[in-house]
Amino acid sequence: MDAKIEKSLIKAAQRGDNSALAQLLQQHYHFLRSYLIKITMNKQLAEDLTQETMLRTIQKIQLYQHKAKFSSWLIQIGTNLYLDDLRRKKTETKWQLQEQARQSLKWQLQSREMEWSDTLDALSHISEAGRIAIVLKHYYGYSYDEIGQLLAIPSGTVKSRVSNGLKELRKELLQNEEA
Amino acid sequence: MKKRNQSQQEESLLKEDSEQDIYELYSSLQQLEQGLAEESPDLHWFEARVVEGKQQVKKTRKRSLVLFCSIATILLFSFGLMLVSNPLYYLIIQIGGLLILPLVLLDGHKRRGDY
Repeated sequence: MDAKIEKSLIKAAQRGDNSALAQLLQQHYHFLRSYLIKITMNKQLAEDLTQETMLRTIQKIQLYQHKAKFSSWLIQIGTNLYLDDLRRKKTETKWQLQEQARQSLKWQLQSREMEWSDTLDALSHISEAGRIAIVLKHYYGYSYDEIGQLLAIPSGTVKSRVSNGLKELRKELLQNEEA
Repeated sequence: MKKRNQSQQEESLLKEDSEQDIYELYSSLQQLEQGLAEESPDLHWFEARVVEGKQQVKKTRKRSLVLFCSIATILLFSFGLMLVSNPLYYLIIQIGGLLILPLVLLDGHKRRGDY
């Protein structure tokens, strides 16, 4: 979307224009949903979080201050909601749910004749913090400072999360190869 | 010299490995995105969600306002009663409140998370 059009839509939405807000949400829906699928590796959870993020956006649109891209603001809200969800779930339940979600995601990809690669399998096994940092850095191309701002952590912590995440990923890939 | 050459070779191999990993990661994620892509719902669906969301906000605000008014009434009534019956306790609570106020304000700023 053109930056100028987006800015005018945001301003109209902040003035209370429902149609402008609906257009903004529609334009970013696909981006937000696919980001959440990548960090959660769980389609159902990603869709629930997308709905919840949209609701938060409707409630908090007045707080958006144009300092960062609107899409980055959505990423920030979505990531925080995912981290809250993780804190609420017990470790054992979390593991079981993640395993079911992984199988379901694999099946859905394969049913569309697409490959569930070893890398995706390894990515779904690493820690959530590492996965979020890796996806933001190496898929969306955010800098360490930008990720630090999004996640409200120092950029040094982001660097170590990316590096540890990649190490975990390599370890998982190696284990898969050996198996 | 030989050791340095060896470590440089190892470093460049590691870098190549890492670049390869990142390339594979990127293409796998791209494939995942393409594989699970779905069309966005139409604009009417989003408009309905916006209206629902705003109604929910209104409800929450009303509930918070009622709660705030009820607590304020109870507090004012209790403090008024305390002021008449035991002014010293009243003074101690007021001073304590003034000391806590900056901490509460600082915490509020941190939690708001404006972006």
